Amino acid sequence: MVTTLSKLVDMIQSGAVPAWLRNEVLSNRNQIAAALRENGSYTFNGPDGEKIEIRAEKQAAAA
Amino acid sequence: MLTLVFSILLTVYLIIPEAIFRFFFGFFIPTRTYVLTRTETAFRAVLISFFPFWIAMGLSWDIPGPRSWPLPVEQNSAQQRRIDYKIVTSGFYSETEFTKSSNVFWPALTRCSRRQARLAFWYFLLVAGEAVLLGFFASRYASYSGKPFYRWLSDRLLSPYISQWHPLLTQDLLPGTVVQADILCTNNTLYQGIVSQYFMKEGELSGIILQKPRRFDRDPYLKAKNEGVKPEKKEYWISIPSQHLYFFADKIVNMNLSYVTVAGTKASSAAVEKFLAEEFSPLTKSLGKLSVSVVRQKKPTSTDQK
Repeated sequence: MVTTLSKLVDMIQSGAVPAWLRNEVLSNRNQIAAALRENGSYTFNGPDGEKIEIRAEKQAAAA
Repeated sequence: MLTLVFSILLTVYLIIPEAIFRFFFGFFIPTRTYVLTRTETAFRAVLISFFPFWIAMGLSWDIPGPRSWPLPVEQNSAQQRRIDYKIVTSGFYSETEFTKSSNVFWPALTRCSRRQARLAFWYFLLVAGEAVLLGFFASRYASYSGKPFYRWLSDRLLSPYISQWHPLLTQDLLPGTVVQADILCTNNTLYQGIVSQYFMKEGELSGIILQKPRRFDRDPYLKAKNEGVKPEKKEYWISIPSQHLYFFADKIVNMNLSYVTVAGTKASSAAVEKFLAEEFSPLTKSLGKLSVSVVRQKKPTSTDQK
């Protein structure tokens, strides 16, 4: 069977997410959601100094 | 005789256009391989030739200019066309009919052949144009992959023309990355490196070249582990003094592929953004759209390749 290009792309792109980020989201989902509601942003800190920030537009504008 | 004519028409109107499509489409996907069965090939040929055929038909019959170029035919009214095709078909079908109309058969065949050649000219040109257009979009899949219509078009029409190895072994889908492969060989040795080239034979991977290759020293690692020491895996990678290490595909047991950014982090901003947007999508109603930014990437260090 020939797989579709879009499924292959989704698979490859999902594989490009660092494991530490995936783990943190899965284990701290509620805390992250709470931080987004309160502060409008949350920063993920990777094991090698990486920083990835997620911002909620409405909350950030209100702040 | 009619069977022979039918075979020729099938070749001209389906098989050759499909080959033309592949040829021009292939300019945009450098290492393409086609892995279609005969039935799939016939189905795809009909699919890709449908619009070019009817447009070419319209051009060569009704539009001034293409109607008479190339290979003009003096007697080219609709009525004359019908008469010519009737004479030619009858002549091919029955020897008696051929003998009866031998005076008019050859001039009619010449006119029909010129009309068919003109139609084929415009038809092939349009198929080539279609292939160039679709090839262009296929080569920029990463830019358009978020658009539903483009995803639909790609899945229905383009996917079968692109080998699954192309998106897997190139960084086309994740620009700004390199493809890192961990290859376990049949001799139980694990190698790692950056995918430089790969080779196909009849739709299957036949070989792969890794740049900056290194080998995992498994035995000392296991020995240290058995002795109760907690060995650091990165200390057991041994660089191989080769710029390009070739692996024969039949010696590969499995392959782990990672798309590594140039800075050394296994992350693509687009992939991270998509992942987080999906994970927190229930919050978007109350919090609005979520935006993601990679504030700081990992700094490359000299130990990264150890």
